[in-house]
Amino acid sequence: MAGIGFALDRIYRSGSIADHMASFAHASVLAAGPCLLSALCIWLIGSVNNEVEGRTIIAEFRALVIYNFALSFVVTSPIALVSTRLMSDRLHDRNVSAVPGLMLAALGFSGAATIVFAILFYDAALDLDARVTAASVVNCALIAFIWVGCLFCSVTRDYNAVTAFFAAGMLVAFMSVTVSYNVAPELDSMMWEFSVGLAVTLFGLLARIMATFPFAVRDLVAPVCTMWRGMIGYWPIALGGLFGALGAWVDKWVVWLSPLGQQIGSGLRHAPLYDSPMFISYLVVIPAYAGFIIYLEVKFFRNYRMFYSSILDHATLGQIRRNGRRLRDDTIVSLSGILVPQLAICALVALSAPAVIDALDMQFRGVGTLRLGVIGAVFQFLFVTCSSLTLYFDRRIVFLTSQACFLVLNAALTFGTLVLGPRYLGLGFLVASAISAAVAYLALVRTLYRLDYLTFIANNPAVRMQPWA
Amino acid sequence: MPIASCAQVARRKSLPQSESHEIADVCLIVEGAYPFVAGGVSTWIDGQIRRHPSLRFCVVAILPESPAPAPKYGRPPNLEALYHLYLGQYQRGHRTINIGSPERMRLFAAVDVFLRSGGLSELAQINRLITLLLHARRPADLINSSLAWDLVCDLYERTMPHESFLHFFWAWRALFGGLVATLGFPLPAARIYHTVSTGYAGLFAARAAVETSRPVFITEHGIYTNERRIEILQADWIIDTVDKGYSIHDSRRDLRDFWTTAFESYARTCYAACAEVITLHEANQIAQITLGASPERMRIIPNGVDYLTLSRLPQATSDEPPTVALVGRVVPIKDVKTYLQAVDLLRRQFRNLHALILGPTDEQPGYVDECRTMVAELDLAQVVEFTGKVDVTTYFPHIHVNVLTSLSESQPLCVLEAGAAGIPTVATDVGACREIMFGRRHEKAALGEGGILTDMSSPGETARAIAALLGNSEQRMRLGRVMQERVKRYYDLRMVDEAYATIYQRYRHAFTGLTAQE
Repeated sequence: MAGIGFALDRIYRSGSIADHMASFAHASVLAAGPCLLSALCIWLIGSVNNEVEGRTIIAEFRALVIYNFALSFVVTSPIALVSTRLMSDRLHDRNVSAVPGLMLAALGFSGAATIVFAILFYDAALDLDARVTAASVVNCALIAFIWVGCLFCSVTRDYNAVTAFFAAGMLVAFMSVTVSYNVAPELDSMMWEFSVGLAVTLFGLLARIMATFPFAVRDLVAPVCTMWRGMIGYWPIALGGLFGALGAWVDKWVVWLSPLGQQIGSGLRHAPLYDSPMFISYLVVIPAYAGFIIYLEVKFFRNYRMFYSSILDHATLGQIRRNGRRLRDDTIVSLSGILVPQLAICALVALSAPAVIDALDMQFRGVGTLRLGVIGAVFQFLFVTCSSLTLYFDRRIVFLTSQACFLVLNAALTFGTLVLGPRYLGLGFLVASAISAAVAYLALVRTLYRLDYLTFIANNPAVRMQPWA
Repeated sequence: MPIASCAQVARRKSLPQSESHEIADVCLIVEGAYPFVAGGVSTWIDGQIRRHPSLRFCVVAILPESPAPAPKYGRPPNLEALYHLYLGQYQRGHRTINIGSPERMRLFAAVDVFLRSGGLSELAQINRLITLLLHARRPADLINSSLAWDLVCDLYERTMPHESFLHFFWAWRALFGGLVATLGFPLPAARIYHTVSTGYAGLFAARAAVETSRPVFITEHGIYTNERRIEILQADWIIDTVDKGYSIHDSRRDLRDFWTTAFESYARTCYAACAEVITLHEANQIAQITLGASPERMRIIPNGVDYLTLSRLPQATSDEPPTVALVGRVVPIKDVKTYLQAVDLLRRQFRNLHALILGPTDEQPGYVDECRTMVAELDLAQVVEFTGKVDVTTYFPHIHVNVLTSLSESQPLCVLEAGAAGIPTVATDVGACREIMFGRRHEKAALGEGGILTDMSSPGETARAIAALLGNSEQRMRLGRVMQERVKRYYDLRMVDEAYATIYQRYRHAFTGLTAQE
């Protein structure tokens, strides 16, 4: 019978499932940890060195480095997240030789974007001295490269190496900046010296990546095009990354620009009353982040792989659902297990806030902000972990929505609570973090409860066509 | 002439029936053939439309996915519309459909029963439920909904909880997706619905019967369900996870059973809906009865050929170089390689042998390449000629023997056409070849043999049969005359057209009053 019907396999679309998000989502979580080391380094520089009488060099240095972290974080977040997602796709396809090209493209995109924005900001908006501008732009670009390198390096799962490179780089930075400041206290020299430390970290990360993916890059056009298509195709991730970066900084910017902010040389603004307690708050939740990473390594990945591999190994629905339940229950129980002791630590810090403030020689008016900050930081931890976990299941729109929620709430509530006065600085951040954490947690729980449906239909690339991938 | 697509008529369950000038007389329903595949059923449909110029036709062409390939046939003037129904057009869509628990349970049970057993009342129920769900939604919304997910889980637990769920999911998605696409597609208004197969085309026709009470009939060329069964048994994309060993008491069903049962259900539903179950030859009727067709509704209308024109063609003389021809598409089911091997054996006996392959070569390029390579390896380049799609009447006057080496056929037109031109055929014993060449069981005034039958994949036997005809012109001409007479009596196109014209006329203004209960 000629030409009746068609091969059944044309309507039978057996395809894979979205089981390769782990490395991608993991990278976005891990980026936060080492950056705390950088913050610690800046704090050490400020603490060890005394300001020269009548000058504000250390304050300006600290402000510039913070500005660079903020600027590079905001500019590179979309690029870094999308590039790691693309890398995760390549690793899933066993196309490891594409990784170095992709990384170069990501570094190129990030470097170009950061340099443009840094020049516009420092030269046009702030009108800094040309030498300081040059040093700051280079510094900003290096930090941007480190963001990208850090995310790529996290795929190697060699967390000790990543931490070691950060520690080494920051040690070099601390020492060289201290020496430079004591020899000749000039802002541009300090920035260059800090860049030396950043370069140590960057080259260490790049060396680690190149050792893992030792492939020559013969064509740069293809990875650049891939990156460009990825930015368009994975727009929720790019936008979510941008919103996440903006959300992490927006409360500081609101306070800096408020009457509570102070202006130091060349138009740089900061708010010691807010910045220092908030910084301490972030340090307080380091144990939670560490616990979370350990949980990911020890339990989550095992459950995650068991769930997806059971599907691909032709398990029955009963077996798949059992594995899904284990993944869900362990995730919820583990998050609670991390959160409860962390809350106890934060409660202790909040109760002993005056003593902490006194010990660290901070403004006593910052007691309230520290108390609100540490509680807010716990909620922010919950928000970051829950929204990041949704990325493991390729819930891009959920990720984007939760990040947008935090950005809007953090900006609006921080601004709205300014009228309450300096005693309530940090209240906006606390409420925004609490609401966002609740939203992200509910979204995560909903995701985990619908995991089988999401895996087979809603998030299945064989069902949801992805022409750009 | 408007050629409408799904998009043009989307979200309209049916075209307006009241505007009589918009109603086609006959809606032909075809799966994976006309007008995109040349030959066989497509040619039959093209001819059917053109030879009934007083009737207005529309065609629902069922395809696995968009885009539709380029048509292989020009548009007949009386073809008013061509609708594309894509079974796999459900990749994107919203996913929130909330229905009450009783309705949900009814849907789950109805789908299960329908896929297991078919039936008109079951179709009516499932059609009603799915129509409600598709109200203001696209098929994609339903197929990607969490409701659909619950449905697949429920069906899996009911039918084969021991199977690989991943494979069940994809099998279910293909079947349910096709079902939703078929039931959700706007029904063109027509006086008669005429399907050329069971499967999705038959399902669509059955739905037309249930929804409109208009007459529906089927002209089944080959037994669709059998072909699907063979394909499913051979499919390497279906994984076997149930090892029944030698046990005949193991009642567990596997995925192959799931697929096969579903297509049998569709066939049963289609036959139940049809006022006339037509096929081309006797052998098909046995299979149709097995699948539930009612014997009193069954009849045979063979394919016809233009006897008048073909019988006037001059016949090849003994002076001309010995010429054999295989008329058909160059595809594996035609087993062109056996033909080439037979030609290789013959050329030592017939030095000037000319072997033609008259048919399109664009359907399966890989197989065509293999055949061409075989021609080169056997050094047959001077003997074998691939002509592509041609008008066979220009070649028949030079052909001594028609050859058919197919592994499967229904009622091959090429044997009839060659027979009308007085050319005997050497054919494999498949489909209706025996009936055409040796006559039906109850042939009045038996005419005798009109060719030689061979086993499948037997180049030696094929070569010997061809040699017997090429080497004995008297026998060849005698068999040719028998074939010519048989075609004149039973396969003349005018008779066939008359039969269909009578059916169309009889049912044109009729309502069957067919209800789901029947």
